[in-house]
Amino acid sequence: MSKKVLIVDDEPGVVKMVKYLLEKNSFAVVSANEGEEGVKLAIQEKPDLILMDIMMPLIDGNEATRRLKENEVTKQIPVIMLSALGQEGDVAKSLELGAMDYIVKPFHPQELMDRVKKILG
Amino acid sequence: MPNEKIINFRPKIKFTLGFKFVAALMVVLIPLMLLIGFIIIKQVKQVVTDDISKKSKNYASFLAKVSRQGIKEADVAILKRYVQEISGDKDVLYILLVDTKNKPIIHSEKKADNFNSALEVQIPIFYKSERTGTIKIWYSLSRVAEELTTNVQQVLFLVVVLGIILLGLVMFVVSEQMIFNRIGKLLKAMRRVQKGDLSTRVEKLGNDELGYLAGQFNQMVTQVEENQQQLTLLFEMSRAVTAALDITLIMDLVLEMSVEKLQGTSCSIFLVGDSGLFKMRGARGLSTSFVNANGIALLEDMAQKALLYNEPLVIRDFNLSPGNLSALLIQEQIAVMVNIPLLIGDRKLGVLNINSHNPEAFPPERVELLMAFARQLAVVLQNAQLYEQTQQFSKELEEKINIATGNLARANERLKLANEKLVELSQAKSDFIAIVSHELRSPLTSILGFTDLLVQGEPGALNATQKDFMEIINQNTRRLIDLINNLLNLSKIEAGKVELKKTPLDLEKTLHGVLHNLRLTITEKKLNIRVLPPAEPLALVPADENQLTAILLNLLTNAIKYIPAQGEVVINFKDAGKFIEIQVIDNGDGIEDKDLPHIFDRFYRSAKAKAEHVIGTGLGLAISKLLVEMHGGKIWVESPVSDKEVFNWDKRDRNGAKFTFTLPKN
Ligand SMILES: Nc1ncnc2c1ncn2[C@@H]1O[C@H](COP(=O)(O)OP(=O)(O)OP(=O)(O)O)[C@@H](O)[C@H]1O
Ligand SMILES: [Mg+2]
Repeated sequence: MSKKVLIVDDEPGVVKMVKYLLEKNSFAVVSANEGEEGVKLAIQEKPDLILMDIMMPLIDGNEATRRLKENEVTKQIPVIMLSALGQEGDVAKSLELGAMDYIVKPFHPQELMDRVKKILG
Repeated sequence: MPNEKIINFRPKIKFTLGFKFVAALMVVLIPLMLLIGFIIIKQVKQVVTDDISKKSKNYASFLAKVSRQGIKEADVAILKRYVQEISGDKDVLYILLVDTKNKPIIHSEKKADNFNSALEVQIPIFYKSERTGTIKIWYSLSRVAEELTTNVQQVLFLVVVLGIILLGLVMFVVSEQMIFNRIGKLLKAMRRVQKGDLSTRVEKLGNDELGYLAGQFNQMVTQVEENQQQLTLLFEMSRAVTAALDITLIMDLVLEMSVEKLQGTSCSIFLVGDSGLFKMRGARGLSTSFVNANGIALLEDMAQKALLYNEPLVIRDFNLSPGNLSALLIQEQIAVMVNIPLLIGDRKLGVLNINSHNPEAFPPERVELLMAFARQLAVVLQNAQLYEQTQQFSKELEEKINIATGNLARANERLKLANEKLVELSQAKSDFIAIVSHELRSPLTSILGFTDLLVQGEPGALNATQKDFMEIINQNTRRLIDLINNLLNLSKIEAGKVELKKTPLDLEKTLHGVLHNLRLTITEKKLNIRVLPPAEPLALVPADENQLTAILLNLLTNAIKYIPAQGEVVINFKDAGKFIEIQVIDNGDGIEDKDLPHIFDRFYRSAKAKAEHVIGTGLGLAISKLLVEMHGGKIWVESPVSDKEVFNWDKRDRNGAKFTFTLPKN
């Protein structure tokens, strides 16, 4: 059974691009376009990996990650941040909240796949 | 002057010390010596005379005994023999035997012509209680003289010794009494004076030099005491006025002191005002009637005269003055009037006027004192005036400052507001840049992703033209991303938001990290990268790893970008004392002279770089420079490279460029 990846991003172009990449690499993909929905979906779908944008309307990626890490059901799911915020502080903050990795946008597709495969084997 | 008096005055002394001394000696010594001589001579004479008279009595009584019968019954021959025998005595000059009728019976030979200085001894001869005659014997007194001469030597010696002893005694007594005693008194007095007791006087010490000295001493001390009193007075007055800075107060003090200490019965002060107006500024002790009779104008007149002549004006005899004047002054009982100008150099400040009822008041030395005081007073007054002015100035200044400060405060307020605005603005700017870069990055993510995929032939292969176009889009996307990243970096550095996290860094290790990231391009371009091993192992350098990486990355990226394929890049570390020098040297075309001064400017790119479509934003070196300087280092460039041979490059090769930056070791 193929591994399931949840994409949480408010940018449809990014979602589409990442979804194409993942599906091409035989991952199952679910997506949400804002934080709250992302958390709901994560609890519901129990994906193997979550790709989380940070700057989103309503609750941002960091807050969503914090909630995921507080929830018994989702706290084991690895989270990779995909963010346009590329400063050190931003990275450190997310990692502290429990994110496993941090990829600065824009990124080359190859780079993303390398990191995903590293976590999901 | 008193001193000269002492020096030039030749004392008229009746009895000088020497005279007294000699007189005392004569009075005591001469009678004494005379007495001693007299006594000695008398004594000697007595002894000799006694001796002789004893002898002569013996002779006489013997002769008398023998001649009792002889004279009567006359055995003259026997008597003669005895007489002869006696006259053998060398003291006996002549023997004469007479009968009662004084008729010579027997006599010896005369040994001298006259017997003036001879001693005559007469002894009566009795026979059975009847006088039968007289024996007369003349004795020579030469023996007395002889005795005396031998004695006189002794006497003289004695007298001299005695004299010396006496002299000593006399001198002691006399000097004790006459000199030392009195000198002691004088010295004691001097010491007292020295200790500051100017009331000391020496009692009359007689009429000699010492007496004179004592007199002079007393006179001198009196003089000194007077001077001292005057000086003290002057000092007191000066001090009193010097302490005051306020003109009114000064004048009060002066007026008070003029009456109290200077024995004035009335006084006044006139000052020349700013406008040159000469005016009375204060007075004491003037009667109302005097003032009412326009006495002030009169005083002012006199004072002005003193000011005009620039010297003290002392008027004693008002009878000689014009009627009206004298009348008014006499009525006011002013006997002496002193007007002393108050001068500083040529500057006339005013006049101090003091008047007294006492015609003896203000002798010349008092006037001198007054002049000295006036000089002080002038200075004090000037100071006070200056002080007044200064106060005025400082008041004005204060007002001006207050106004200025007010302005300044307002300006400051405005500046603060502006500053706050600026901070807000700069915050807004960096926020803006952050937001913009985020907003740009998100769409760029999909553009970069999709073009990457398309160029790689995903989801299906493109024809050549499509691929070419797609590559241009991809490249420009990357350029846009670089631009955004660099802009964001620069704005953060400039906003002071970048804090260096310095850790001791192994430069070579950091370099290899950077080279590792660049390995793809390096192999692609078939470049030769050489890291020269440092002469000595490099010390760890405190630096921010991320920022140092950024600097190295930019320099190496440049070298890689701007040299042709198969070119060479050398990285060299140098220990330069307090700094480590890091050099990135390439053998590309180098940088043209006209570009050299500008390549560290933001957005500056050489025309050549643009023409050759080398991708870049023109911000790399600007950021590198800021970062190097934040570390306390410097960065510079050299092109063409001057020491190509060091890197085994041909001198005629391409110019090349050598970028050097330094990092402080601590
Ligand atoms: N090694 C080099 N050889 C020749 N020219 C160079 C070299 N390094 C820099 N330059 C010149 O200096 C200019 C400024 O360089 P800088 O690194 O600031 O900008 P850039 O490389 O053009 O863009 P980027 O911001 O992407 O670095 C370059 O455009 C280039 O003309
Ligand atoms: Mg550059």
